[in-house]
Amino acid sequence: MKRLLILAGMALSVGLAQGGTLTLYTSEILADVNALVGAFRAQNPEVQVQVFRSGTGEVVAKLRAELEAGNPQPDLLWFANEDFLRELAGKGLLRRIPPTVPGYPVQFAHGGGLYYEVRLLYNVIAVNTQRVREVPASWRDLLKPPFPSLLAMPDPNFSGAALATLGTLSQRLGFGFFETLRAGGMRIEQSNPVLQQKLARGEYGLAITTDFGVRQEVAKGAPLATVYPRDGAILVPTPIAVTSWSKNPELATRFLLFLLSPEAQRLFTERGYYPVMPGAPKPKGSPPQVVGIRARFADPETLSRFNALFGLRR
Amino acid sequence: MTRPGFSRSLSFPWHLPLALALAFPFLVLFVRGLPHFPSTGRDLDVILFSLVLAGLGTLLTLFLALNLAVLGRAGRVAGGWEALLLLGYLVPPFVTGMGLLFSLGTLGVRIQGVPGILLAWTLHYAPLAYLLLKPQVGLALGLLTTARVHGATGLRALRAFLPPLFPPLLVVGGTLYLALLGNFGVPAVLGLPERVYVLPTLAYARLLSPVAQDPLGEAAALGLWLALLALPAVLLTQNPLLEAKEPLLPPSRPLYRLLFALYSVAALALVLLGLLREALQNPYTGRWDPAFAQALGLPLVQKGLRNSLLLALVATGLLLLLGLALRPFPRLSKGIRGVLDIHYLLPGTLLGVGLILLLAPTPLYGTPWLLLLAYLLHFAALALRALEGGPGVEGAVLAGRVHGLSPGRAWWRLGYPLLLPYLYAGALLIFPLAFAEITLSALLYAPGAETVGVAVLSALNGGLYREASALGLILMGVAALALLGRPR
Amino acid sequence: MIRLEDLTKRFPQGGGVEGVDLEILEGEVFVLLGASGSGKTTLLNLVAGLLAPDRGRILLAGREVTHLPPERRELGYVFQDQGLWPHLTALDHLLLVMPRPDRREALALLERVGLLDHSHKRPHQLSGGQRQRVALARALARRPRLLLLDEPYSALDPVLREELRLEVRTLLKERGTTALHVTHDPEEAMLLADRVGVMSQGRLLQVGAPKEVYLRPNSLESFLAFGRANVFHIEGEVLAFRQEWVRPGGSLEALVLERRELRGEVLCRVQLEWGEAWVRLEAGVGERVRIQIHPLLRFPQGLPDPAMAAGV
Repeated sequence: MKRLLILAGMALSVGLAQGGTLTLYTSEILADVNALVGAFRAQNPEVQVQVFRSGTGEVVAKLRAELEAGNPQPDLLWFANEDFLRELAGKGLLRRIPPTVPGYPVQFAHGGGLYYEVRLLYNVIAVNTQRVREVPASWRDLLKPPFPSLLAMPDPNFSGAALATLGTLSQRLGFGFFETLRAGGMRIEQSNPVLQQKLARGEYGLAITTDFGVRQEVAKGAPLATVYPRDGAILVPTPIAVTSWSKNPELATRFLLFLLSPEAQRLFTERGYYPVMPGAPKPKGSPPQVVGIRARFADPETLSRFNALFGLRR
Repeated sequence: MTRPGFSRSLSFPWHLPLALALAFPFLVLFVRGLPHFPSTGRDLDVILFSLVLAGLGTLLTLFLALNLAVLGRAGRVAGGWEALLLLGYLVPPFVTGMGLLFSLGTLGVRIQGVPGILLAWTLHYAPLAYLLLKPQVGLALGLLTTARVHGATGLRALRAFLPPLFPPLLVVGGTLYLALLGNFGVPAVLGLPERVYVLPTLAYARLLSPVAQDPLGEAAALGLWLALLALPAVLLTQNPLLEAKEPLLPPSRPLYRLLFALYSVAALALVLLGLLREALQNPYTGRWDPAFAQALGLPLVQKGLRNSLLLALVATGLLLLLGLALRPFPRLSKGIRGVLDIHYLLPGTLLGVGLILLLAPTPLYGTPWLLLLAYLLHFAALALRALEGGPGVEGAVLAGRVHGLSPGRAWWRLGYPLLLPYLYAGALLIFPLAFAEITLSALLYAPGAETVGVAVLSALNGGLYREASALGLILMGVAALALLGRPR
Repeated sequence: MIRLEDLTKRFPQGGGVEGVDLEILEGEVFVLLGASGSGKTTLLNLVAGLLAPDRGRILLAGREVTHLPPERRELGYVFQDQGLWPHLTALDHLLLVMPRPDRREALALLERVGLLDHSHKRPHQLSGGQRQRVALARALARRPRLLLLDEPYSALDPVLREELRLEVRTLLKERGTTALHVTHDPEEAMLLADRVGVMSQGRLLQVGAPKEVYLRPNSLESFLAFGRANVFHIEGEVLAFRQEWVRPGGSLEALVLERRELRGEVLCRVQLEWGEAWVRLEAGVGERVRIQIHPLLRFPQGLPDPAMAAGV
C-alpha cells in the first residue's frame, strides 16, 4: 500500500514536471490572480500554474516555516511585504532578472531586478460622499477639524499598507501628525477591507486606505470617492519575485515578464489598479496622472510609538 | 471495575507513546516558542485578560444554556425548535460575529469590544452547552419535582436541583472554556477595532507582524500560554455524569416552550438579519440584489464547495471510525484525547505552522492529504468526546460477552448500534465545522485545491462582504440540511 | 459442576468477597441468600468473569476458568435490571447468543416462556414481566453450563414475582440446568433452592438444604437471614425464634397486644417475659394465653451484623 502510494506520487510528479509546473505564493485577490494565470496559460498551455493564495501574514508564515523545514515550494512570490522580500534577497534567495522590457520604469525593478512592481497600488484618502461634503485635498488637510473625528486607518501591525502610511507620513509630516489625529478622534480598524466596508456604510466619513479597493466598492454603488492628495499618494510596494530555489526559473521569469505585457497590464487596469507600464490605459474614474511618493515602512521604534499612542498591541 | 480480556491485553500503557506521537506538531511549536517564552512577560495583561474573558464567557453561556435546558425539558421542546436553536452553532463563529455586527448596525446599535465579544460567544456557544446539559437537567428536574412533592419550594427546592448539576456543569464548563479560549473569529471581528486583545488574536498579530525578528517563535510562545491556560480544563476528566434514566418530569409548561422558541428565533434572527440583508440587498442603493449568484459564480467557490465537502466527509468519517475503534478502550481513548484537546484548542494558524515545520520535507507536503491530516488532528478530540457518552453501552456489551459473544462481535452487534445516536451527534458536530474550516485551510490547503473556508476568507480580504455573507448563509443551509436529517 | 476455591475480591471502598469455598452440583439450583452489600452480586460477577479475583480459583465442569474472559465460560446470566438490548427484538436476543442460530429452536424457547406472540417486539414494547422472560430465555438459549440469576424478580410486582419464580424453577428442572441464584428474599430461597448458602459481609456462613439452614442456623447472622425473627438479649446470651415456631399450650405466658391477619395466618404482637414479640397465634387482643416455643435457639452474645438486622 505504502509502496503504491509512493509510486503514484512519483508518477504524478513526473507527469507534472514534463508539462512544467509553476507554484505561486501570493496575497493578491484570487479572482485577479486567476484572470492573469488564465491569460498566461492561454499563451503557454503546457505550463501548469498552482496558486497558493492567503493573507500576507499566512503566506509569509507558511514560507518561513517551509524555509525552516528546508523545503520551500514556490517559484514565485507576490505579496505586500517588501521587508520580507528584502530579507530573502539579503540571503541570496531571490533570483535577479535584468529589467530588459522596453519602457519599464527601472526604479520599480528593485535591486536591479531582484523583485518587480507589476502594477501600482496607492494609499489615498477615501471619502464617504454622503457624510463629508467638503473633501480634504492633502494629507495635512486631515488635521483640520472635524476631519480627524471622521477618520480611520488600518492597524499597521496587521496591514503592510498601513505600515507604509505610518512610516511615510511620520517621516514627512512628523510623528506629531498622528498625535494630532489621535487627539482629534481618529480610530484604528484591523484591515483595509474591513475599514472600507465600514466607510462605505457610513460608520466613518474618511479613511486612509488603498485606492483599488475603494474603486471596487464604487463599482458596486458605494457612495465613495478617492482623493489622491496634492502632496503625493503613497505608493505601496507589492512586488513579485522569482526564488533562487525554483526548479523552473525560465518559466517563472516568463510569467513575471508576462505580467508586464500589454495584455496583463490591461487586465490590471480593468480591475481597478494603476498599470506600471507608462503606455497602458488608466483605471476608470481615476486621475490620469498621480503624484506618487515612494512608501517608507515604519521602523520598529515608530511603530511602538504609534502603538503606545493608540493603545495597540503587537 | 476492571474488564477482563481487554484490561489484561492493555496492561501496557499504549496511550503514552500514542499520545506522544500525536503531540508532535505541538512539541515542535513548544521547542520553537520556548526561547521567546520569557519575553511574553510583557503580555501578562493579555494573558490574564484572556483567562478572565473566557471564564466570564463560560459562566454567561452556562447560565443561558442552563435556563434554555430547563425551558426545553420542562416545556417538552422537541425536534423543530431545537434544530432552530442548534443552527446558530453550526455557523463559523466569525460569521456569527459579522452577522451580529451587521444586524445590530441595522438596528442602530453599536456593539463591539468586551460586551460584543461576550454577546457573540454566548449566542454562538449556548446551543452547544444546551445540547450537552439537556439530559442532565432532565434528571435534575426530576429531583426538583421530588423536592416539590415533599413540600420544598423556592430556594430550598433549588438546593435539590442545583447540586446534582454541579459535576455536569463543571464538565460542560470545561468544554466551553476551551472553545472560548481558543476562539479567534469573534475577537478578531469584534475586539480588534476596540483594541481588545485575547491570546489567539495577539498570536496572530505576532505572526503577521512586519517588524518581528522571529514571528513564528513569538507566536508559538503565545501558543504555549494558551496550552498552559487550557491545562486545567484538559485535565478535568469526564466525570461520570448522572445515570440517564427516564426522569420524573414536572408537568409540561407551554409557556416554557414559548420562551424557548422565542429565544431560538431571536438568537437566530440577531445573526441572520444582518447576513440576509447583506446577501440580499445592495447596501448602497438599497435595491433587491441577491449576491448568491455572484458568490457561487466566484471561480473558486464551486471548487471550494466540492473540496470542502469531500474533505469534511472523509475527515468526519475517519474520525468517527477512529472514535468507534477506540471506544472499547476508555483508558487509551481518554489518554489520547488529552493531547488532542490541545490540538483543538491551538489556534489553527499555530497548528498549521507546526505541521509545516514537521512535514514540509515529506512527500505529504503540498498535497490535500496534509490538510486532511490537519483536520484529523484538529477535530479528533470532538469525535472522541462525542462517543464517550452512552452510559448503557458498556453494560450491553458485557451482557453480550457473558452470553458467549466475542468482544468484537459484542461491540459490533450491541455496543456500536447503541452508540448510533452519539455517532450522529458527533457527525453533526464535526462535519459542519470541518466543512467551513478557515484558519487551517488558509495555511495548509494544497495549491489549486481550495476549500470553502479559503473562498470565504478570500472574499473577505477582497472586500466581498456581500458574497461572504451569502456564503455564510449557504454554510448555514448545509448545516440546516444536516439537522433536518437528524433521526428523531 | 462448579467449584469455587478461596475466592477473594476486595474493593478499595470496602465490601467484596472473602475466601469463599463452594461446590454446586450438576442440575442443582443453588440459592445465595444475603442482605444487600453482603457480597453476593460480587460473587456472581466473579463467576461470570466480569470481575477478576484477587485470589482463589473458579472451576467449571472440571476446567479452570479463573482467568478466562466471560465469553469463554459458557454461562447464562439473568441480570437484576434485565440488561436487555434496546435495539433488538426478543427473537434476536436469542438468535444472537445461540452458538448455532436456529430460528425454530429459538421460537420454541420463546413459546416455552410464553412469549411466542411477542417475539418481534423490542424491550420497550414489553411489560416488566415479559422483559424478564426475554432475559431468561436469552440466558437459556445458548444451553449454558451454569445459569446465573441476580435478584431477577426484584423489579417485579409481588403477584407476578410469585408466578414467575415457580415457573422458572420448573423450567430449570425440566432442562436440567445448573443455576446459581442470588436473592435477599428468604421466601424465594426456601421456595426455589435445592441447597442454600447464607452470605454476610463477604463470607459464606452456612450451606445446606433450605429447611436445615432455616431450622438450624449455625450463627445469629444465618438465623437473621431468613427473617421473621424475634431476638432477645438475655444475660450474655441471645434467645432467638421465628414467628411460626410458636404453639399454643406450654409454660410461657403471653399477653396479646395486637392482632393482624395475613394470607390465612394470624400474627399477634405479644408481651413475653423477655419483651415484645410477633408470633403466629390464633388469639384475640387482650387475651392472656400460654404458649410454647420450639425450637428456641440460643447464640452466644455478640453484635449481630447491623446490615443483616436492618436489611432482612
